[in-house]
Amino acid sequence: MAESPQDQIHVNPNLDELVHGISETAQQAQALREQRDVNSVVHQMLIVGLAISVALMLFGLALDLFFHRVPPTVVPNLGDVLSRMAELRPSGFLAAGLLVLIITPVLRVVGSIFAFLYERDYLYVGITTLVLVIVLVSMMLGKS
Amino acid sequence: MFTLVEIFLIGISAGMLGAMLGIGGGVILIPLLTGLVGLPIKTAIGASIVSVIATSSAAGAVYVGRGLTHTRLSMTLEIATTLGALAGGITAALIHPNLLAGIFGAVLIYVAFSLRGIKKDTEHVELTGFLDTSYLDPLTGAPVKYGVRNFPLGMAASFVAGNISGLLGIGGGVIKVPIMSLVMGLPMRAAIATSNFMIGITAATSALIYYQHGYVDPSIAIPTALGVLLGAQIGSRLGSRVQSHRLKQIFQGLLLVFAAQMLYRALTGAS
Repeated sequence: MAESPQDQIHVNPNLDELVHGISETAQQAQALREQRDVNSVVHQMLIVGLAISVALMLFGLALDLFFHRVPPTVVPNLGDVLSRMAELRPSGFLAAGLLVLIITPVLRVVGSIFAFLYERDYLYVGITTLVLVIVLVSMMLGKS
Repeated sequence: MFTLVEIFLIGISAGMLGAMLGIGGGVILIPLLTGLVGLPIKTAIGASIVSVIATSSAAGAVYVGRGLTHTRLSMTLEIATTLGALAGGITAALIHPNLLAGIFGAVLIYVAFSLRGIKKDTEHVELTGFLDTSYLDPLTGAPVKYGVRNFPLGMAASFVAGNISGLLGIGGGVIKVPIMSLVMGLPMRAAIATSNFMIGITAATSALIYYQHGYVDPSIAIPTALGVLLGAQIGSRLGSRVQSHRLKQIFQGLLLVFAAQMLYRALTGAS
C-alpha cells in the first residue's frame, strides 16, 4: 500500500454532506450488526455440530483401541445406529459421528429458513424451504 | 494394509495443501486414496465427500462470523446445485468405476488449467440492483457493496457444479468460485465464502446417498476427515508464509500426474 489514510486528517468543506455521510454509515453498520446477530446463531450451529461429531468419532476410535478391535469397514443401517451406541459398540459411535457431520449443513439450511422468517423476507423463506425439500427428497431417493 | 494413522496423515497433507491453495481437499484426496492406498474409487469418493463437509463447516464458521457469505444468492443457486447433485449421486452409484475414473481424470485436467486464471486482487465490483449486498472488508474495514450479474448463466453453472460434486465426491468449488467471481461479479472473498456454504449442503446430500449405498467406510472416512480438519487449520495458518505462485505451479503439475493416473486406471480397468 502506497499511503496510509490514518496518518492524514481529511476536512470535508461541505458539512451537510459530512453529516449525511456519517448517518448513512451508521445505518449501514446497524444493518450489518443485525445481520451478524442472525449469523452468529448459524455460526454456533456449525461449531457445535462439528464439535459433537468429532467427539463421537474420537470416542468411537478410543473404544476400538480399548477393545483392541480393527475399526469397522462398513457402516450400520441408519436404524441400527442408536441401538449399537446403547451397546457401547464402536461402530455405533463412529456412524453417529459421521451422521452428525453430514446433517450439520442441512440444519444450517433449516436455521436459514428461520433467519429469513425473522427478517420477514418471505420470498427467501420459500426459496430456502424449496432447497430443504430437494435435499430431503434426494436423501430419501438415495436409499434404493 | 494401511493403518488409521497413515490414512490420517494423508488427510492432513490433503487438508493443508487444500487450505493453502484455497480449494477443497477432494481433488487431492481421491487420487491419493486410490493411487497410494489402493482403495476402490467409490470408497475414496465416500471418504472425500465426508471430508468436504467437515472442511465446509469449519471454514463456514469463520466466514459467517465475518459476514462474507451471500446467503440469499447461495440459496437461490442451491436449487440448481442440489438438483444437479441428486442426478450425479444417483448416477455415480450405478455407473461403472472405470468410467468414473475417466471423468475424474478429465476434471483434474480442467482444474489444473483453471487455477491459472484465478487472481485474488484486481477486481471490479459494483451494485447491479439484483441481490445487492455488502460486507466489511477484513483488511480495511470499509464496506464493499456489490450486486449479481449474469444470473441465468450462474444457475446453469451451479447445476453442472452440483452434478460433478455428486458424481465425483469433490466440493465443486473449483467450478463455482471462478464463475461467481469472473462471470457473476462477486468479490473473490464473497465468492469463496458463498461457494463454501453451498458446497456443505451439496456434499451433505450426496454423502447420505453414498452412506446408504455402503460406500462410506468408517475405517477410511473417519481418519481422513479428522486429518483434513487438522490439516486445514495448519494450512490456513501457513498459507500466507508460503510463496503461493510457486505452490500453485507445483500443484498444477501434481494434478496432471493425478489425471494421468486416473485416465490410465479408466483404460486398464484396475478398480
